[in-house]
Amino acid sequence: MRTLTALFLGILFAGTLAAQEIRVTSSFEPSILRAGEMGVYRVTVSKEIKGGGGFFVVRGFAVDFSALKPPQGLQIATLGKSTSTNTINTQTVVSESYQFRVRANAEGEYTISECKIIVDGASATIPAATLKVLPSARVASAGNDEGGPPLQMELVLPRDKIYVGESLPVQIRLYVQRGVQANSIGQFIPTKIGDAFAVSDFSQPVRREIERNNDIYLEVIWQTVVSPYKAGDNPLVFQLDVEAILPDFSGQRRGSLQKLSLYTNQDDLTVLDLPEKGRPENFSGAVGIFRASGKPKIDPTQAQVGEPMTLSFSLEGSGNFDRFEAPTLADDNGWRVYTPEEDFAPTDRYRYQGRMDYKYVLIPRDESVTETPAVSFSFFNPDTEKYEELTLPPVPVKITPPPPGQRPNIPPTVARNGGGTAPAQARQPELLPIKTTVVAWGQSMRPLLLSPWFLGVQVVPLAVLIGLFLTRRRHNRLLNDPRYAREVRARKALKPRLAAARKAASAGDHAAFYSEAQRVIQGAVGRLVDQTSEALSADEIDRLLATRGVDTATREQTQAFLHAGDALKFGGLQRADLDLRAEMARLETLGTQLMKLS
Amino acid sequence: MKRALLIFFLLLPTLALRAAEAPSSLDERFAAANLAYTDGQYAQAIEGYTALLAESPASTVYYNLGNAYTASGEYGQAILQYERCLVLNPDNADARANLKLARDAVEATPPTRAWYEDYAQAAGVNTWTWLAALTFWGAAFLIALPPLYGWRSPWRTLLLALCLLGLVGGGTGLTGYHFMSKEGIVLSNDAPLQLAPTSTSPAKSFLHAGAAADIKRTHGDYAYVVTPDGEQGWMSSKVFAPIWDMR
Repeated sequence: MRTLTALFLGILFAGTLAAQEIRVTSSFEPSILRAGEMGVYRVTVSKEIKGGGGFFVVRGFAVDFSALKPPQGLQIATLGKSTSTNTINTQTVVSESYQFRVRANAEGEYTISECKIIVDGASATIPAATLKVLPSARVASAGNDEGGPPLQMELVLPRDKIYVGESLPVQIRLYVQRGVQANSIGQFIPTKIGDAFAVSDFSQPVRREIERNNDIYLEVIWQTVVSPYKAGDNPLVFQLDVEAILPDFSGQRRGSLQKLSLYTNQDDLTVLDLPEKGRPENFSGAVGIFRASGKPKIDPTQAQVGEPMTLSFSLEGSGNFDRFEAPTLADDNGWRVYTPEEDFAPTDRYRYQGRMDYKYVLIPRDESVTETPAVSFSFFNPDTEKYEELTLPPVPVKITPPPPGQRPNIPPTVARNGGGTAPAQARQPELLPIKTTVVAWGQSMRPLLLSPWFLGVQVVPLAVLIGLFLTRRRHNRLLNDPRYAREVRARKALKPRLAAARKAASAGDHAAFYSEAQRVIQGAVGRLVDQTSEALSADEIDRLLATRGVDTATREQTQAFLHAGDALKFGGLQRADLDLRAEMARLETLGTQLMKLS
Repeated sequence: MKRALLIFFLLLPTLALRAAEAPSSLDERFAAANLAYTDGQYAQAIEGYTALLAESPASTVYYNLGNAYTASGEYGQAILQYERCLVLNPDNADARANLKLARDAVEATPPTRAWYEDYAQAAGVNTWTWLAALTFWGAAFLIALPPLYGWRSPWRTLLLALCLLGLVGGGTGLTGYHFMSKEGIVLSNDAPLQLAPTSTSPAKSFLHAGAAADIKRTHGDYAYVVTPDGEQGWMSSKVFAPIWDMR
């Protein structure tokens, strides 16, 4: 076990050592100075440690700079060093930056030439670096009072001739004089003014210091691609808004922050039409420099008539990839060619350079074809100002006849307008065949929703829903609300009792009439209390009516009906004195009044 | 009377012959139109299919009519008939394929459709209607009645959720069809988009056969349409027809 551990650590350590790679860079910051000004010369030594190097403690490098020889006139003094470590996954990069103060009192170019140093006992090379020194500010201002503007923007075109539809890479350069404090540079990107050109995305700005007009400027460069829409003299201007504090004559930063709009000072650009002369028939608008990427491929290489095959090839280069159509297949007789699939893989953010992959689905019409159609692609080369043609050779294929009875139905080409048809564009589409049976006649596009019968049918579920809802609610109330139940029962019982009283009145049966009248009154009043209505006495009824504020006349009438039966039997009330029809009418009125009580 | 009978008996063989010649049932007339198509007599096939559709519409007849128009090079009409076929039968893959071929032939762009319109095409308009109606009533019953009947089963919640889901699904499908029902197709090339609904009105621009446009309103034989590019104007029924034939 101990042996295995030692072996593992040995392999790990050996691998780590083997993977260590020393890189040395050098630079002046800034790369351009005035005489007498101070700058920094920086040498960065970095070592990449792979395979677990991150677990080691970084102790720094032992660097011997004795071989470093500054040029004549350049004063150099050590400032110090700084160390940084970056670990990503298992890769660790240790960097040590050595800084030297530099100064030159005379103008000129000072180059610290390439030299060998020793890093941790190993030899490494510091690349050469050049510092440009301009005359001192005092001398410069004495010699040249005019100088350049403190802020300036320029549009840089790669060539003079521009063609409609082409994609043209351009640079927008912003120059900021040393001494100008510009805060927002890099936060905003230039915006195009004018509608004669399309502009792609902008690159991230690149900054560097340069000499310009005998002065030191910060140069900020954006790259983009412009495409002219139309021929003629058209303006192409870019605008950039910056906030800056401009220096005064003494070169000091004074004054307040100003918002400035900068514009590229470009005259109208002359955009040319693509030349008519020599334009190939199959030219579809491609402008740029294109070449075939490999040879066309067919998959599969062998098929039956009617079976699809895929022809694929690629074009690469630089130009207006988004603005031209797929190449035409030179002679597609014997083939059915479908519109190809296109897949563009740009290698820059402007979609100016890259590779376009094409995939054509081809179907052989008969077994006589032996090769795929040749691919022909024409484009205009703006550098040579000529049309060029790319031809990709045909690919051999083997086509076998279909099994008997399975030959695809290829409809005949129909001549239109009395003339012939162009080979590719006017060919009839190969339709799927007609149907020979109709599954359903009488299908209407008029939606069911607008049909009166459908809308009428909706009444049925509505009625069922309402019916069930009301029925169940009544049922529940009868169960849960005794007063409601008594009310319902009383109302239900009232009608047959009145009918029985009416019948008794018609028959002249006084006893039966008053007996029914008593029940009618008991039922009507009894629904008001939680008590069996038949058990209510006349006094109780009267008390109940009194508590509900019933007028005296009604109460007396009620009592008269309640006592009339007994009075007939025992009280000497003569039947001849009673008109039962009138009594019935009174009873009905009384019943209605009593049923209104609550 | 004798004379009338004589004339009747003289004409009888002629009438019988004509009756025997003319296909009577829809299926027979459909077969005759198909035969004309197979023989390359596209004008005759178009006439036969059109007559059948006027009498009794069927998605299959729209499909065959689309094929006949394609074969005769009238791509605008062909696209219209395929679209109508798909309204009646959205699952007709053959119609969808031939519609694409017809559109490719004239480089016509299919109408730009919102997600709910694409969704709506998953089923027919009447399927969505039934789904919406049934789930609506189902949801209404499940909301209104269970509290009265004391039904507190978890099935109620599940069924109610399904009903509401179906209602949303059906409603969305109907909404999609509602918007699609306003689409129309340009029937011929260089069809004028006019400033006013009259034959003497100047044309603002011209549309290609097979182009789709939305109908905003109609006036007599003219429809006020809006193209996917935002162009608006009046188009005559001679050069533009709605997809939905609301008969």
